[in-house]
Amino acid sequence: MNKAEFLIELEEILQREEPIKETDKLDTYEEWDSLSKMSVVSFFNKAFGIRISMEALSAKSKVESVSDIINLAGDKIQ
Amino acid sequence: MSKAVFNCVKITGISTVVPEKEINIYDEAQYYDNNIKKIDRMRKMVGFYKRRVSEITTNPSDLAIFAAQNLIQELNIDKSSIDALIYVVQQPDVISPATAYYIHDKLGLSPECIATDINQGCPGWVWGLYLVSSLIQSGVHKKVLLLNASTPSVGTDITNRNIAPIFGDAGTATLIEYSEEPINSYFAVKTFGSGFESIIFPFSGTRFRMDYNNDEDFELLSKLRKEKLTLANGYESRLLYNYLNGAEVFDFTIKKVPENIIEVLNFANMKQEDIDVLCLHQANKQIVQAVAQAAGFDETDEIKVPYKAFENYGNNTMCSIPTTLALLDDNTPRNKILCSAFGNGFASASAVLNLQNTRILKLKDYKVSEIHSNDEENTAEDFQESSQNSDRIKLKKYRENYINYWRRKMKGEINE
Repeated sequence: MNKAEFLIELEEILQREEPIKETDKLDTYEEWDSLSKMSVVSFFNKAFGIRISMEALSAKSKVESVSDIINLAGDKIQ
Repeated sequence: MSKAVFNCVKITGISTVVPEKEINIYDEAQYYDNNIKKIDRMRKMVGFYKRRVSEITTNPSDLAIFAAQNLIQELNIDKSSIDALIYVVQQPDVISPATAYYIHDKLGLSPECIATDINQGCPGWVWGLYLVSSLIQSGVHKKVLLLNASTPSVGTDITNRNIAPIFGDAGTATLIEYSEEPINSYFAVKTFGSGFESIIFPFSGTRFRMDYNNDEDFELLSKLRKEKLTLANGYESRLLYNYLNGAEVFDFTIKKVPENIIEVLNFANMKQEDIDVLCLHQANKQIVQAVAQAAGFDETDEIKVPYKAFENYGNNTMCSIPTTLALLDDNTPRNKILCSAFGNGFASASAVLNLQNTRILKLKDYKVSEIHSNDEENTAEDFQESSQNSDRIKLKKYRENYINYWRRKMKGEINE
């Protein structure tokens, strides 16, 4: 999956109507709540076979922006 | 050993009852700033929609007794032949004795029938089946009534959006018997005590120690009662409330439950495609689908991986699998039903059951107005759109009766 495809997936996961950019800070999204985080965890498991935890996704020091989510996928997102 | 195969235990019948009062999430828009889009999003992602909630004066035992009476009547069960009553509950009527003794009396069971409570949460139906199957397989008991009931909505602060929209109430009665014909059921039950504090009533037992001889303690309680705080996820709660750490619960569930499901499949020497229906605890739609997917099932197959029980009845904790079973289409094959329930403890209990010859009764409404038709406090008006005010009146009356009963009882004024 490339970055552009993932950003579209993320829009769907977050049910966000406005486009998502890699540099966006997650704190600025109203949709970045526990429901979305759970959906991201499920998506990573299903799409990439990568198990991330809610705890890791909720740690602001590690996951601050959209690009931090992308980084969690390693080479699965090109 | 937490894995077991039983070969002489059959589930004869299951009855599940739900309170008739229904709450629709769209009627609660005021708690979401009247933002319907937000509710639509929650419905799509998590499946929040409808849930059944009890009257403020309903005990879980009321639902359990109603479910048991329904099962006894529909299956024409000879009550004198029931030799064990196991009541799985988290909110007993009183701490001691076991509420099972009260139920035993109300159902008119035999003195030869043992009775006890078991404290289990969401895994409680599968967990209870595991225990009851052991009793029967051992040869000691032949006909056991397993009761499960939960009323998490009662006393819930409706403004607490971390808890209130999730849970519904229900009661279940299951008759389990010794079978002359061989019938196999496979269980894998896991315990993860490190999750003890992740779903908990922290101020409900002896850990929160009060000295009832000291007035200062009552003042402290009164002060704590008013304390509100903001949870890590941003929702408001009261300190003296039940606590649920959604992130920890989700992390546990997504990791350990699929492993437990695969474990029971391997133990039963079956594959995902052999299973007729994967009946998962209806924590919410998102969790059901995430667990199913991680366990190698097609989570988008709504027939094989049902989640409608959550959408229409809420997460009614240990009754959610029986609720799901009651909603299965009559033509659904039931030779290999994989049930997996998980939750507080943490515990995860999975079983492959043969329910082909089990009488699974349709859901029945528990109608307080019919059951207590002579009670003054339950008039028809009470069952119209219930306001918090009318709940207060009902609760006050209920409590007043209870206090007065015990005053008179203790003074020896009631002779039975």
